[in-house]
Amino acid sequence: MDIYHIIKRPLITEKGTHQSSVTHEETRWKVARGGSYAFEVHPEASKPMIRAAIERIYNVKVLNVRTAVRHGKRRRYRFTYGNQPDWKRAVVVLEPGFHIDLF
Amino acid sequence: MAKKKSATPELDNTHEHEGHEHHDHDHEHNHDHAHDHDHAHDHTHEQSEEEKQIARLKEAIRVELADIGTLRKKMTVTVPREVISERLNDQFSELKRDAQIPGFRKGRAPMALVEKRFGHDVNLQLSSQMLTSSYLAAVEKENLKTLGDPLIWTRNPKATDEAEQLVSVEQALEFIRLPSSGDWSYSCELEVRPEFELPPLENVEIRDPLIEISAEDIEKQIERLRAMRGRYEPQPDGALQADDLLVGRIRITVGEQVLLEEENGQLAVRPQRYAGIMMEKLGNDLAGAKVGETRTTVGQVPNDYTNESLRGQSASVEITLQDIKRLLLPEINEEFLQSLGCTNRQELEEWIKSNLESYRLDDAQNQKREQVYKYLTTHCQIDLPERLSQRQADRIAARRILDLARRGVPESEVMKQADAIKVGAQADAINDLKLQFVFEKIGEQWEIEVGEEEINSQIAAIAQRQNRRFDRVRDELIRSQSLEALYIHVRDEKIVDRIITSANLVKTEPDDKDTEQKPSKKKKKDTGDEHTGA
Repeated sequence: MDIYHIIKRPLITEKGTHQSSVTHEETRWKVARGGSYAFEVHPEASKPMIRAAIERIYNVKVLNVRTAVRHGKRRRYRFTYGNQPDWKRAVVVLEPGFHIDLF
Repeated sequence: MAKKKSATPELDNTHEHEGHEHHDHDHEHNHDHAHDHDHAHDHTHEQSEEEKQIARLKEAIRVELADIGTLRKKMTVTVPREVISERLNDQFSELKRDAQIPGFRKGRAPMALVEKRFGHDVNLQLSSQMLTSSYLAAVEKENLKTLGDPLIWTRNPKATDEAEQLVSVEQALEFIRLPSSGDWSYSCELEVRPEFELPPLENVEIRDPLIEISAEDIEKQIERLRAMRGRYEPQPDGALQADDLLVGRIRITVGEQVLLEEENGQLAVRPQRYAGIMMEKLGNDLAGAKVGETRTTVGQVPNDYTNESLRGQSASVEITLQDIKRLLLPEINEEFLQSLGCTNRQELEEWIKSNLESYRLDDAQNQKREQVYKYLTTHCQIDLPERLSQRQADRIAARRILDLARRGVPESEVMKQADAIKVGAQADAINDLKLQFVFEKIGEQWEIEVGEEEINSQIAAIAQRQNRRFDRVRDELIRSQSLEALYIHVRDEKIVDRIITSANLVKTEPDDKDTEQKPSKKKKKDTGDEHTGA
């Protein structure tokens, strides 16, 4: 799998912006740990694959990768029910001193 | 997705109604009074904000002025970077408070993201705002009295060549963008009001035509009324006389070419134009003719005849009489008088006299007005801006050419006359503009004010003439933006009337007594119909 297929897009959210603006060291005991960046990744991408891809794309050193599969929501169209697709979210913690400029 | 969509209208809203965003009307029930109050407050707040901004800009900007023709200037305005940055910051910080971006709560998105997302729109909006406000500030700073909108030198980003073009403000707003760094500078060309001295406006010598209604005038009017109520009687054995109506076979030829051949054509026996051919001798040549007789008269093909090749040639008009009809005038008896709403002849004469008097009074007043216009245009030395007078002349010429086309004059003929029309339009445009400036200056000097009731009475007069409802006419005037023209018309009339009141009136014989109209028909005024007809 190509690295650009592994990393689909960065997730620019309020929580993500906060996490990227504080350091990992000073917030490691909190839920929203700093120094980390969220991405939507390929559902079959593994943590080592994500780590390698991020290091290649952004030229940074990755400390840790956490992943979560977000289940698609149930949606109704008229009388038919359907599901949005599941997607994988990865939170990448960078080594101290590294930074990704997302916007 | 829904959230994404809402972000852009949010931006538009924020900028279009600056000053409103601080006052959210959260209450659901209607407090009309309070609501109105809030808006009024917002409006003054907005105005003072804008005035403050222009005052600040006035101090900050640098302006260079150069003369480039009669009453024409080139103005270069430089807006310092600090002002632009300050305005950008203001815009973004306001925007940040309300921006709704997916993934962020309202107002929590970081500034960099807001700038990236809305930067283009803000730049677009700010550039148009800055262009307008800096232009106004520059005009105020240099104390210029401008005419119309300026033309702005801009470079079209889509055009292949790098040359700057002189474009209207609307076009310039499409092209102009604020620079990302450094001061912002633009040049524009504008026209300024002419400075001139007014001639003396008191004791202007004006000829005042005497108004006298003679018995002869009244008699002529009675004859006219009789003619209007007369009927044509066939005269099978009579001979043709002047002003009779002939019915017959009419054949018009020019050389070998037959222009017209018709049965039962009707013609009054007097010099006239029929089927485009001028027949001067019709009355003389046909006098005494009887039914069944064929007579020939000579006509002339006029110079505006549709077929160019025939112009100026003589035409032969052959008429075979089939019937003669003569106008029988009604007797002036009780029935005739009653049909005119009078009980006796004396009453009819008085009615005609009063109508003639009012018509001639109107006419005399118009003549006096014309004299005032002439006096003002000849006694004021005004240099006019070339572009403005050219625009006005073009408008007048276009209107006249359209009029000709509407009257059925062929296009080739219109094109031939176009040059003459344009020259005439130029002279008229100059006079119009001169009068416009003169009246404006007199209006300011005499502090002439036009009240709403005066405008309303004018609208009511138009409505009455057109037999329409007052509010419909008013709405139409507002829609066609003619209300201002009506205001100017009323103001000009007031000025002219005041000049006439204080003028030195010299009683003179009327110029032309025979120009009178039917006494029952009131002369059509020129203003109202012009405005609504537009």
